[in-house]
Amino acid sequence: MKWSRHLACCSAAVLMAAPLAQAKDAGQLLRGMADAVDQQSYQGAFVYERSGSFSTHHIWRQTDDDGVTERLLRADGEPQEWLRRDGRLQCASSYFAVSDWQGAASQAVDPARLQRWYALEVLGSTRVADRPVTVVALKPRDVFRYAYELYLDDETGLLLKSLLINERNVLLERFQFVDVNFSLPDDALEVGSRCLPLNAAQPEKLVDASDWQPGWLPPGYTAGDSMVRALASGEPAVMTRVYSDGLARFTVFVEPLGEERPADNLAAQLGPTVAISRRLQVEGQTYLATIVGEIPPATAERIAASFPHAAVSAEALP
Amino acid sequence: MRNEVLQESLSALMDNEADELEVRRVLQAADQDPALRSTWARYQMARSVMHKEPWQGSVDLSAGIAAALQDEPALHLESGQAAPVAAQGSVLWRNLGRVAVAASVTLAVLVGVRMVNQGDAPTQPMTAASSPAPSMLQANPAARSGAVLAGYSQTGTAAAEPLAPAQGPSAWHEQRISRYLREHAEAGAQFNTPQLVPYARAASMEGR
Repeated sequence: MKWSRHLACCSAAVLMAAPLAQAKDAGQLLRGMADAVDQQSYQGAFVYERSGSFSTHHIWRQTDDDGVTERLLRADGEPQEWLRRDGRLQCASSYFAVSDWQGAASQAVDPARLQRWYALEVLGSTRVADRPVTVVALKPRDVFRYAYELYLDDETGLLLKSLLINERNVLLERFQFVDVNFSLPDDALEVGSRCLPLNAAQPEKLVDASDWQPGWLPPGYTAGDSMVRALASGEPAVMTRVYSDGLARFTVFVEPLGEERPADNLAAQLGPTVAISRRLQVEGQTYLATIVGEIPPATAERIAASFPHAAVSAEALP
Repeated sequence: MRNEVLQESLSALMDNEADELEVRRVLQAADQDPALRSTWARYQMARSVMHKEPWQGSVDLSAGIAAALQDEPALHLESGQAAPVAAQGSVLWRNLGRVAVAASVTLAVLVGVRMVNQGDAPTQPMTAASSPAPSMLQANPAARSGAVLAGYSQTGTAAAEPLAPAQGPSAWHEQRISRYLREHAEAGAQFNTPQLVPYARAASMEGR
């Protein structure tokens, strides 16, 4: 096996043998990571980096019998603040950050399911945010997903760092705690004045949107709830549906096009996230289907091309 | 409605095709509307990129930061935080990863209005991406084998619409893609794993 230069350096210098941590297998570590999300209160600072973007953030997170409350603050650029209770946004400082998404709640990690699509491996131990961590690698077994490296706190199981890596061994994004502390001051969850309460949620409904299922899904991906709602008042409704293989995710959006809403087929990329739009023709009406997700562009292309309606596109007929 | 008229005027202005009335309209509206002002700024940045104009902020900080991070995580984070806002915004524009879908028929654009010529060889994203990531995927040589792509091209794109005209996406579509990206990232915050990463993705799209 050909190891990258970086790994050679890391394995020699940083990844020390840690018999204690390696007593757990990758599946146990992933389960521990999921438990930590439900159980750990903490505060910390982390960085997020993707191609062309680097940002710094603070988090205060409290779990108790009432549920989970978390306050998030972007520490650079324009001040951005969010408060969530059990995943629901309570206030936000930015219009753009506000999504009234209320689809299916959290999805637990299932190592058995992941094992089918990723080879799980404990790479070794190192240190993140001055804490010992164990590194779990998830290498895809096919070409339809990316690889992950998860750095899990030895004591709590908390995810302290994650890397997303493509098939050419290119790092697509990095999430990494700088500092984490498992005690919270009393006023930790008090938001600043810039965090504005949300307006009443727009009406939305869960519907059967099976008509808008792509004809092909990467193996292992299952559909979550679908939802139909307008993204802004006075606009036609958009069908939204999330798909996941238990780790990676993509979202399908379908909405009608019109003269004031022109769009062509296109592919776009923002760091690890790809967006592929494709026009569909159904009974004289043109729709735009867009796949957005942290999946390889070729996978997204294939999903987008698989809508049955694309085949009856008027322009595509000879 | 008014917004769309303004968008059109703005587009015309960017193409040097706006009449005096439109110029005035945009100037006046931009004075009062931060959103329009920021759209304008983005268009200008995008145009700079498309025309390869030098843009003062186009200094790539993230590669250096990434390299520093590999060695000294905690220490160098502070310097990353202190990066000038303007430079940070431009980095995003300059280094949006390119889409490696040369075999596909879709028009490839980068988020915003930047386009990539379909004939361009896919280049690897710069910045952190150019440093090899630790360890992964060496064991997956099938990843770049042409088999899947070739099969895909025959079955998948054969029925698709003809090649989109070689022009940028409409302003509406551009806005839509941005909105979709945010919606997708926000929806991810509902998932447990890895819980903060989708939030960070969503937050990193702010202030563009």
